[in-house]
Amino acid sequence: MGQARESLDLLPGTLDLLILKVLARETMHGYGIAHRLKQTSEDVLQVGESSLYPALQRLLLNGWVKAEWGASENNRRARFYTLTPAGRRQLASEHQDFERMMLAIQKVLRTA
Amino acid sequence: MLKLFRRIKYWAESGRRSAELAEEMDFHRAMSEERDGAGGRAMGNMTLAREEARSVWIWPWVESVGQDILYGVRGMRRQPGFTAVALVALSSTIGINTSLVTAFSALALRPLPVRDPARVVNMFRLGDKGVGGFSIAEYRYLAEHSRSLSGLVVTAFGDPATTDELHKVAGSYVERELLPRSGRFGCSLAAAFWMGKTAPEDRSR
Repeated sequence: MGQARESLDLLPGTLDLLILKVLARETMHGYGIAHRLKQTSEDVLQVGESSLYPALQRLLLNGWVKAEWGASENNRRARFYTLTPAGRRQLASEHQDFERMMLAIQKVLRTA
Repeated sequence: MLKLFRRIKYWAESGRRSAELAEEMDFHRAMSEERDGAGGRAMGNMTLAREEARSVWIWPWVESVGQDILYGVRGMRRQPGFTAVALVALSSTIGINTSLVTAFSALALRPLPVRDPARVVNMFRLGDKGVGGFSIAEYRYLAEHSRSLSGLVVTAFGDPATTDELHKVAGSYVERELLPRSGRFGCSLAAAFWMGKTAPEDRSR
């Protein structure tokens, strides 16, 4: 009460979009994705395992990412996620939808 | 379609995939501890996270139905006496109900197996002593002279000897008189059917 919130809840469906966006730059493991989201959002988006891994499984199920085991930066066995061509198309489509939605929300907030 | 295929593949490899997910999450926690100093508690409930990730592949209701069935089977194995009584009661009740419904359907709901069942009528003789039937002679007379009926068949109830005799007489009449003229007497097919005799293929149409 009265304290600034350290992290914000994501809008439904936006986590998938953000993961796709992070993976569009490079292949990453789960921790790397969570770390990148936190870093890029300046600690606003802190994604826990209970949100991140179901989202990654959802992306795998839809065929938007593929997963392969490899060695991490500290030489541990880790699972790396890569965006598929279908995932790239999905990212473009979701990005566009999100932009439209944000624009609509902003219009309402400014005028209503 | 591809999604369904992926789901089936997951089910087939669910043991290995669950182990991989657990390993992946262990790695995540180890990295968090190493770099951010955050323990497992800070990352939330691991088991819940695993279950949620798993439920993406396996619809929760499918798993729930499977668990209910297993629970039921275990319960039945624990109480064999109750299971036996319940099985006997259920199977006999279901059997009786099925028989009754089948019989009622055959007798009351399904049309007679003739070309035009709506035109089949049942004839009785109304006498002083109530409703009665016809003698064989009367039946023969009606069968030969009736103009409004395209064919007749006689049935009998009661004494098996009488019934057999009646069927024999009527059956021979049906074969001799009605079946050769089946084009004209469409009802003779029904007669042959009711008599328990099979009409020759070319005459039955």
